[in-house]
Amino acid sequence: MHGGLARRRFLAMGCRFEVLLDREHASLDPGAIDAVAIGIDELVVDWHHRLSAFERGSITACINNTPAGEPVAIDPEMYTLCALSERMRVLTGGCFNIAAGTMMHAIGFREESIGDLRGIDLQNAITLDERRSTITRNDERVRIDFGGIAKGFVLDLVREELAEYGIGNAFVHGGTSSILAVGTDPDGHDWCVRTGSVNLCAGEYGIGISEPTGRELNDGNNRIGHIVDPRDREHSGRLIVGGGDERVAVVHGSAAVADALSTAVCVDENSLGCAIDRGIGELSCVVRGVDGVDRVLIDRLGVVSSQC
Amino acid sequence: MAELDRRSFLSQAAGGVAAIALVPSLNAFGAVRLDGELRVGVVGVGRQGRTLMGELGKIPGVIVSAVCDVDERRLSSGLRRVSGAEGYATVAEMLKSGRVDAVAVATPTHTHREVAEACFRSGKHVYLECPLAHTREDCFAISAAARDAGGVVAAGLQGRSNPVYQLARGFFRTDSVRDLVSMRAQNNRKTNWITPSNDPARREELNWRLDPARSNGLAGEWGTQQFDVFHWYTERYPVRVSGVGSVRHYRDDRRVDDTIACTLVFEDGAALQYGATIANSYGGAHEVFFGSNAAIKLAWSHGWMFKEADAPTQGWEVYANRQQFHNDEGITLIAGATKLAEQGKLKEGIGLPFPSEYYALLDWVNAIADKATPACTIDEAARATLVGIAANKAITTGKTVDIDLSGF
Repeated sequence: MHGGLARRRFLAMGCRFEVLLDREHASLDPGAIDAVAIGIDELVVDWHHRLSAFERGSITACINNTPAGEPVAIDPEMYTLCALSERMRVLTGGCFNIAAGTMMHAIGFREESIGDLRGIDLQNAITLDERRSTITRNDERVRIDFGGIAKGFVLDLVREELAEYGIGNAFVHGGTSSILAVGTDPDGHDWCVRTGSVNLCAGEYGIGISEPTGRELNDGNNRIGHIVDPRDREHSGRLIVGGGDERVAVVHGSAAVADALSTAVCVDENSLGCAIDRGIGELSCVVRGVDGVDRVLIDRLGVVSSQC
Repeated sequence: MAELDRRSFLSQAAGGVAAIALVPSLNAFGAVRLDGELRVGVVGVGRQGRTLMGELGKIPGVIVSAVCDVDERRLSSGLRRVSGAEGYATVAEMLKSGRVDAVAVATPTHTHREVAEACFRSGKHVYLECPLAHTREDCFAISAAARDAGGVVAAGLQGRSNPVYQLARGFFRTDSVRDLVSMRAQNNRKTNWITPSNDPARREELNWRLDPARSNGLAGEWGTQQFDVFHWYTERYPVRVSGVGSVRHYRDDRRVDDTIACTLVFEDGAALQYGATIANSYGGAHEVFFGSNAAIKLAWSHGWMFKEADAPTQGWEVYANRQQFHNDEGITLIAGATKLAEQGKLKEGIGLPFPSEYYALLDWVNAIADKATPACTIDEAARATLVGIAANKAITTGKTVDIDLSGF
């Protein structure tokens, strides 16, 4: 453990978050740096309560429990998340979709049953009204779940907090799958994250890592992964292996984009090209196939290396 | 709230689980009685103010129409949490705007008097966070001003409107614990009470909790909420308090203790032991009543009853949900238990779905709708605040302090 780091660990969003802030290269005194770490804890936990699909008092539950066709007023920050989620759905050709929560229910990842999904259009599951700041479910069976983007979105908010307090060097991760790296480590090197045989040495980026086999059900005949293909008209919830990938890591300026895109690439590698063509911006992406071999699909940020 | 007498409560309880649970379930999950819209302005949008904004937004018919904070950054951060609200730098501007029917105040404790008096004068309905004030003088002033207020005035001692606490109080008041032998409460949270800022002047303003002249310390700032639970349950107030406190962990020249312990003694000799620290989080915040038949433990979203082996068993307990705590088995106190049991959701409903702030605000909104008295009045809050101020004085001076509630 480095003496110059303020550390904070806490549970939120179904995983353990860890915050590392460099005390030595910040304009605040050490006590205030610790307070920033505590503030990050409170920020993430607050968003956990706002977004959790499992808490009856959350905004997600409110959206899912409001009758279809009835707009739900949401605050500007929540609207930003919904709009970003929709944009990611379009950019990835429908491979990322917060309405995929519907299939999680249908498959059995949730206790609540929502019945037959025939005829449901998950690519047109919600309507956003920017002027009124509302979200509307277009079908009674649709269930929204921000699980594929929430941690990244919150890490982007954390980055704003760090900037406000002038903390130039920090590393924050949620369950090692959503990562925010800012500046350098206390020794002046880029923060490095190892995924498989490669390192992602990122100075100012968000990193999203998805594994389709992270959680799965077994229905007796098939393994059903927790990442589902929202484009699947059968809504079978088949195990998604995304062209044989067992892990996808995406590096992007936005942790939310990295988070969502890593899920989309798990669903279909072609979503990466689709997103690039549609203007998602500079990024790097590394995938590990079921053969255990890591492949660099793209490294426009120049962050991938075999060693730190 | 109408008091349940022991006889009627137990006759309902004797009918089985349905009778026990139906009493609190009538309002357990928040029937909203508002007819039309209520436009609420929130004053002070630090962490607590933003929490209030979020919970207000969950109450049908309530619109957060205005946000007010003297701190520009907090104001803009508050506005990001609500749609369509106007921002104001002063309370006067907000009250003059014509955009609010009611005001929720979550400013620092030492600023409550000025803000509350302005809101009372305007005739708006007011919800005021607790502790009420940092001095006896301000407590009396706020209480006096509230008597002339035109709207419904509620104070934020949240146990009184919390469905779990209301349910457990029914058990307590009907003798389920039998002879009350002692009381204990704690609030442990790992934090440091520092609000960071690069601007020295702003830092001074934001860090009022660490200024002994403006802060009631842990006993006042946190303890007041919990002391009131014991006042409300026992319908008595302690008469004297002694305590100790010190800086055990944060070696940053602070002058407000990071760890305290105090004993509040009631007229009959019963004692409430209270401890709080910002250096450790074990056990969180809870209150415990120890009786000869049972103990009741309350932890804001949850509540349990621990029965003694020789205590009589009541019919409803057969169906109750239970949780194991090391060697003890707790009967979960769940508001709306019957309904949940019928739906097969008893386990799911063990904790409250919303935080205490929601129920306190809902109670205020319903009191406005009904033109009724809210669960917590300003005078009740003033008494609890005076107890908190006395406890802080005992801790900071090292002397036993008599608690003087005369005037209320």
